[in-house]
Amino acid sequence: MLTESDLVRYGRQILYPGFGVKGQRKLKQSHVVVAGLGGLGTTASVFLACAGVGHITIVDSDFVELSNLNRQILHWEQDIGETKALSAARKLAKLNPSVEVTPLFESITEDNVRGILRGAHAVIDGMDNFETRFILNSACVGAGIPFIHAGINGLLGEVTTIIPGKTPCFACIFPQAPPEGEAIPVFGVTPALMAALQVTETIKLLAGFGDLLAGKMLYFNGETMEFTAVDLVRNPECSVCGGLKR
Amino acid sequence: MSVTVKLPLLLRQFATGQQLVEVAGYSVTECLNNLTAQFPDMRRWLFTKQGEVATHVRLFINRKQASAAESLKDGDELIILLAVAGG
Repeated sequence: MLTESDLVRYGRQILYPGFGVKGQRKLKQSHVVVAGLGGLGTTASVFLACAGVGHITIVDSDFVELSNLNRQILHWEQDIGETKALSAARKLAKLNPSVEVTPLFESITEDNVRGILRGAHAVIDGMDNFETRFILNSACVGAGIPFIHAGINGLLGEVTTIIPGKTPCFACIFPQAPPEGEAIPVFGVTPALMAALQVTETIKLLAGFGDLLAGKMLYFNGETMEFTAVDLVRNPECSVCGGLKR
Repeated sequence: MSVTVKLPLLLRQFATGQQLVEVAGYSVTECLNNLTAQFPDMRRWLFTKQGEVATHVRLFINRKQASAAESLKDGDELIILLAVAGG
């Protein structure tokens, strides 16, 4: 049930046609896992908390470093050396104390992923590597949990919403990981923008309105300010979701 | 018979900064081979050492996901995108 404070706090989004009190109640009853607390995950967590998603689990196995601070907006200079999970949880609790935040300081592996995702209504991809994305994708497909993917490099970004059984899964789109090298270039605005799009998708998904980037990849090029949406196709031979019916 | 190839930012540096390049080819692979014959420095980004199109290369014909084996028609638009892994 929404409290009087909720109705005031979320009043401006409750005004949105097709969302309303019903949509807000759905957000409050929802549990979203944010996998990774880098540029994508910190920004996504902020907007999930602002929007009133009732339970947010945040997962990261790293410690805050000075080189993170150009983009990872929940980590500040005073947090250097702190775990990203606790650094982020502390800020989110102050931002919106009515939201339950569960910080997990651990790596996501094939052994623990099902436990981490248990009860989640959506998973936001804030990872910086393909290996963990593949683990998350398989677990999401297995459990039927939507997986909202984003990736960035420099001023380039991509985002898509993977709905198990309905859309191509991450392994359909990327059968194998691309080569991964040293630190990639990135401005803070790129993950911030992609994360804002991920949360836009999450809100619509949870509240049940609007159109999703389901089966579509939206690409952003910040240097030329181009957005390009392309259709994705499911791989019937996909080792992860190939057996699922559309 | 030519298609318009739209290059990702990273590859434009190898094509004198051009975003759109007209390339001949009846299949995506043929088109990419012709593209890299024209701009050899691009090859290592698009092909494996074994000569196959690398799996991190995303291909779209007229904005629909395509494989390297697919055929092309005159006037098609081939978009090349590279996977981005950062977060």
